[in-house]
Amino acid sequence: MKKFLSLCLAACMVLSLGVNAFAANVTETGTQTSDMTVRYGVSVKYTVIIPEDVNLNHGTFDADLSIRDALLPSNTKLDVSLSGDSYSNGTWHMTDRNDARNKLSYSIADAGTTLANGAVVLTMPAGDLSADKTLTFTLLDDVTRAGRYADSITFTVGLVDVTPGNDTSDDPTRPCEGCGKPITFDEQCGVCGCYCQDCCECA
Amino acid sequence: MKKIVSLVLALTLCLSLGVTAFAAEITVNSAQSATTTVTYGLDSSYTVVIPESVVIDSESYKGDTAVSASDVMLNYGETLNVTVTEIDVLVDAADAANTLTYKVGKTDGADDVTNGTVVLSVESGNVEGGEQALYFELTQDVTKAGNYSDTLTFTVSVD
Repeated sequence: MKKFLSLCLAACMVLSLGVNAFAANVTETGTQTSDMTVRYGVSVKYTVIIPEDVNLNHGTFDADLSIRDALLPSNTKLDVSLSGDSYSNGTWHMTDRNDARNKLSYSIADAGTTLANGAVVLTMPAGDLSADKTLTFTLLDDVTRAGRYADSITFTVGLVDVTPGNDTSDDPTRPCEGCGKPITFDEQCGVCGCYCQDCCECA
Repeated sequence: MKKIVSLVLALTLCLSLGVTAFAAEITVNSAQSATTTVTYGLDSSYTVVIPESVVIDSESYKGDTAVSASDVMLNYGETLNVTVTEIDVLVDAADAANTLTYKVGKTDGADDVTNGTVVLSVESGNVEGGEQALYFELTQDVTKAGNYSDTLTFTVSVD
């Protein structure tokens, strides 16, 4: 009995020590943060001006090409390339509308350098807003027959990725008209331009 | 007899531990009246709205938004402050080297909001709180297309 009472007294003394601790006040302090994202987006845009007509009645004609109001993505460039079905034997050809056998050859040059089928005639890197180029068209043949001669050439605008490691713009390829394999400008025949060195039959 | 007395004393000791917590305090003066204390407790609270994003228009090169505080309950003498930090430059998502600078102001065209600026301050007693418009404007010509962004941090504190 004595031991039981002693134990009760001891337990009561221990419990009495905790009463004031349970009744204490607790206050929370601190700051809070929140993020806000500022966004600005601008789409790719550019205007390429290409001459609609070139008249060689005077033997030569200067045609202006230009790129205006351009916003290109970072690590890209805009290429304008030249192509056409009439190119052969190193020159371009106009055909008489009344007689397909009647042709006149002409050249297209950039600052004295003649341009072959597939050549890039104008290029502009991202960051530039505009670019200009003048191409000189020159009649190469003496005209011996009257007629209405015409040729259609195509200017193709392309956005090229020039990210280091991805840039292939210096190695543009086109299929060889003989065997179809991709050939670069340097690999194609320097005379006809349409065939690889293996397929070309130029003298 | 001794055991009974010991038991009674032990029980009395146990019961006396709860006396202070259970008993309300009553003061009786010579005029025989009693005093009762009336209390009311309210913790600080407030609602602050920070927009998740703001878009700068691609043609006007400007954008605007607002931060606001409402239902502001502060202790006497305290002030609710909203501070902005981490204002930097807009970075192209496709090219980290391609950036655009911009400014932030409390009015259109201003540049008075910089890192560490308190954009909104509400004093104790102003339960309705307040609102502060923020104006964003590009300060650099755009030369490359892309999706640019920057992230600001707003810190809400009671000082």
